[in-house]
Amino acid sequence: MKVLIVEDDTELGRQVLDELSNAGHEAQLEITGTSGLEAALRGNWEVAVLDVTLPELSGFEIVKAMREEKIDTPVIFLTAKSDVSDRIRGLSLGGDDYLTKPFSMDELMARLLALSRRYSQVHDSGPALPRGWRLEPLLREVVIDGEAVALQPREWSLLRFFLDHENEVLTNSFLLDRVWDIQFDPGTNVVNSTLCRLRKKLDQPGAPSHFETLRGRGHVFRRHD
Amino acid sequence: MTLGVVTVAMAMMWFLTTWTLRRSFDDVGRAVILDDLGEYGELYTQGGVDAVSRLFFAGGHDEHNQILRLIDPTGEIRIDVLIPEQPEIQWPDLDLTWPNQETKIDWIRTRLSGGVKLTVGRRQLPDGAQIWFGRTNQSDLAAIDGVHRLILFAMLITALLSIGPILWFAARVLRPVHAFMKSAEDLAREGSLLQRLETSDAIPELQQFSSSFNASLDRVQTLTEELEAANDQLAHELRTPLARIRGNIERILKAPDAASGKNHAVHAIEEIERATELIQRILSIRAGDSGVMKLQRQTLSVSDLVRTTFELYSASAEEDSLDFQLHLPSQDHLASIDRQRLQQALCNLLDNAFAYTPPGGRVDLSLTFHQDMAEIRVRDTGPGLKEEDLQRIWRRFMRGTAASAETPGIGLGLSLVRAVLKAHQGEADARNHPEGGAEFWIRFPYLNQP
Repeated sequence: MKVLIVEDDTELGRQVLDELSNAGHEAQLEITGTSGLEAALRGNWEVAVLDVTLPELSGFEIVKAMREEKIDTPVIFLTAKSDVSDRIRGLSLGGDDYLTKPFSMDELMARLLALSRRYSQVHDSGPALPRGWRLEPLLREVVIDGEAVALQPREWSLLRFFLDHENEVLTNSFLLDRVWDIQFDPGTNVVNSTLCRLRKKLDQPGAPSHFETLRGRGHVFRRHD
Repeated sequence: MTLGVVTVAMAMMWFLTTWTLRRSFDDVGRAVILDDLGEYGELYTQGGVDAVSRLFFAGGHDEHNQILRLIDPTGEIRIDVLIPEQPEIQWPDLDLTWPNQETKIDWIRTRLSGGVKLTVGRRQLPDGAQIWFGRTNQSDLAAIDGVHRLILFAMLITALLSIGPILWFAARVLRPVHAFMKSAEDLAREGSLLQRLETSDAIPELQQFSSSFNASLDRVQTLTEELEAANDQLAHELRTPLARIRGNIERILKAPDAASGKNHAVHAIEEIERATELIQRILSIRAGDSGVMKLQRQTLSVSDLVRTTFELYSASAEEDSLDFQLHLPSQDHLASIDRQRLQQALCNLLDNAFAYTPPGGRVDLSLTFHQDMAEIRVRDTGPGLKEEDLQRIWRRFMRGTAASAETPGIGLGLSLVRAVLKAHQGEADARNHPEGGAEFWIRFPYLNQP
C-alpha cells in the first residue's frame, strides 16, 4: 500500500510512518500543507492520511485541490477536535474517512486498508473462508461441515466485517462504528459479548478460536488454514 | 440643569410679557391723547375756552394722570390744569409759540422719577391757538404690575406643582440610575461578581431592569463558580489518568518480561481512552449548553432506536445478573433526531441504571408517545436519589451521593444528556419512583402524523 502522510506534528507523523513501514507499506511523510499538496499531486498514492490543521494549507484545502486535479485518492483525516465538524462528516460521506486524536494505530491501519481496498476494488469474489465454511447470506447462516449455524443480525454483520478484514487488528471503536453505527463509547461491552456468542456458535471444540482478542488493542479474525 | 432651563424660560416669559404690555399701553396712551386733542380742538372752535374748560372738569379725571393747557392765539395761557396730588408732574419746558408752520401734532416725551413717563401731544388750532394734552403712564404701570403679580402667582403654582415630580424623578429615577452606574463601574473595576443593584425605591421599570440585571449577574456568578469548579475537577480528572498512564509506562520500563510489560501497556491505553472520552464529553456538553451543538438529524423510528439500544445492553444485563425489560407501545412513530446523540444520551441513562442497581435487581426501559413528545423512561431498583441530588446530578461533574469511588463515570453523563435533549428541543429529568429506585426520563418531539 502506498500511503502519503501529511502531519505537522513530527512525532506523531514519525509514529504513523514507522507503523506503516513496519507493516511493509510504502509511506512518505510531509509536514506542511504546501509540500503535502505537491506530494499528493505528484505521486501515485493509494491512500492519504491528512491532518486537518496544517501550516500554510489545511487538510481540507489539500483535498479540494486534489479533487480539482481529478485525483480521487481516498483520504483519511486526522483531527484534534473531538466534536467532529459537519465538514468532516460531510467529507466522510464522500468515501473518505476520519479519525480523532488520540487514535489507535491498529484502528488507523484497519481504516487505511478498508479505504485502499474500496479504492482498488479487489473485492468482488467474496471473502476467503476457513476450510469447511459456507455462507448462506439470505438465511444468515454459516454452514460448517454441512451443519447450519443460524446467526442474529448483529452477529452476522460482525462476522462479515471480520471476514472482510482477516488478520487485521480491529479496535472496539472501529467495530462499534462500522457494525453498530455508534461513534461514541457506550458503557456496555457489546462488542465483546457479541464476539463471545460468535465464538460459542462458530469455534470448533479443540481447535483454536477464529476470533482472537488482543488486550488493549482489539480483535483479529484468523482462518487457521 | 432642568431647573436652569425652567428659570430661563420663566424669565423670558416675564420680560416678553412686560415689553409687549408696555408697547400696547403706549399705543393706547397715544390714541387717548390723539382722541382728546381732536375732541378739545373741536370744542374750542365751536365754544371757545369756556367749553373746553367745562368739558375737562365735567370729565372728573379720577385717574389723576391727565393734564391740559390751552394757549390762545396771542400766546396767553388760558387753561392750565395740572394734577394737584402730583406737583412733580409739570409741563416740559417748551416754547409757547408754535414751533413750525405745519399743523401736524407735535409729540414730547419726558421721563419722570420712578419709571413714570409723561407723554405730551400739542396741536395748533385753525385760529392759531394751541391745545396741549399730557398723560402719564402710571395707570398702565399699575395694570402691568397686576399682570406681573398674576404671572408670578402662576409661576409659583407651576413651581409648586412641578417640584413634586422633580423631586420624585430625582429620587426614583436619577438616584437609582446613578446607583446603577456606580455599581457597573465597581463591577468593571473590581471584577467582583458579588455586587448587586439595590433599587427598592426606584420606579417599577427600573426595578424590573435591576432585577433582570441582578439575575444575569447571579447567572454569571453561578456559571463562573461552575466553570472554576469544572476546571478544578477537569484538572483533577485528567491528572488522575495521566498519573496512572505514567505509572503503567514506568512499569513497562521495569517489566522483567514482555508479558507483564504488555499488561501494563494495556492498562495505559485503557486510561488514555477514558481521558479521551472525558474530553469528548466536555466538548459536547459545552456545545449543547451554548446552543451550538450541531445535530445530524435523520427521520427515524423511535421504537427502533429504543430497541437497538436495549439490544446493546442485554448482554451486559445478563453478565450483571439484572432483569432488564423492554416496554414498547403498539404504535410506533417517526422522529427527526440525531441518532448518535440521542442514543448516547439513552446509553448514559442505562449506564447509570446498570451501575447503581445491585445484582438481582431490575431495570425497565420503556417508550411512550404523549401528545407531541416521545418519552423514554429508564427505571431501576437501585438506592434511588437523595432529594438534594435530584437537581444537582444534572450539573457538570456532580455525582449523586450514592456514587462511590468504584462506580464508573465522572459525573458528566447527565449534563451531556440534558445538553443533547436541549438541542432536540426536549427535556430530561429524574425522580424517585414511589415504589423505590430511581426513574430517569427524556422527552423530545416526534412527528405526530396519522
